[in-house]
Amino acid sequence: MKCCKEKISFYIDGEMAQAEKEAFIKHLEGCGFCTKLVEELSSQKEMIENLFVRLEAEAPIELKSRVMARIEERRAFNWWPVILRRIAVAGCMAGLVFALMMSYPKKKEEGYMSQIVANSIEEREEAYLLREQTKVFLNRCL
Amino acid sequence: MLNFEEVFEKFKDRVFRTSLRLLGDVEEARDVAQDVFLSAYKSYDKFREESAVYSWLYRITVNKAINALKKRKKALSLDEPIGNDKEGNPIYYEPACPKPNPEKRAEIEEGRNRVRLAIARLPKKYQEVVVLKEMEGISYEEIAKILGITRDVVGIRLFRAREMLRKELKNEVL
Repeated sequence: MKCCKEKISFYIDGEMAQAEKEAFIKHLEGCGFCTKLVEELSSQKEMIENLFVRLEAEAPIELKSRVMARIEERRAFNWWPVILRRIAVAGCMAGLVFALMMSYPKKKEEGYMSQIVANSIEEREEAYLLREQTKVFLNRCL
Repeated sequence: MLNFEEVFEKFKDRVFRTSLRLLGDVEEARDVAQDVFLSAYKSYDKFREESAVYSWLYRITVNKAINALKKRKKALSLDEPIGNDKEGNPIYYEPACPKPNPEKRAEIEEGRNRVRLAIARLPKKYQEVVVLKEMEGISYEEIAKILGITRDVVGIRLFRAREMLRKELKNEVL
């Protein structure tokens, strides 16, 4: 059913080859669902065409002068202050980032990793002692 | 490859007409058309051939017009002219009836607005095919070239877009 449904637009828009059209018409004879959909979508298409397609309008005469005026404005616009302002802002941002990076305390690489490991071992030992002390305290209470 | 002014002359009516069909308001359509050509001017050196410009113009027109439609807050006035004929006389948006009475015009305009809003709610890739086919009456082959897709994909997207439109329009009525 899905592959037949999607042929409906080709059929109602007259975009089907003759052989395919004949096969589709034969299908419609035996398929109430597709027939109904063809009717509904055809009448919707006709409704929209009646509402819109028959309008023929030309662009207003002043459109060209307006477009050309905007183009001239754009050409005449002095871009240098804008460009310089943006360069200045970008420069300040880069300087700020650089200053932040320089002020951040540097860790000495030598012994840094071993210091981290040592801290970790110390913390685990403290945690172990704390657990043991807690057990003793609870045993005394109970 | 045409220069920018030649492109403008060649496509100005199409761009304006597509905007007008989507927006139904001359001023808004003119603003959108102006934006479209200004954007085209900014990007013009990137185009290598005329067909690329044509595709780009259509896509950007549909996108900008639908964005303008979504932002719109005021209701459209029925008494404003929506275009000019070749002699420069104002014309009113009445394609179906030569001289409809005010009630009929109101009904027509309401119908158009429902369709416009329903199209604006579709996913972007479906908006493009629906506008190009339903509003502009362009062939599948031409749509395929404009959007850079195959003819088969055009047909499939159109089917799905129409199905979604059908549900949107039914919900509007209910």
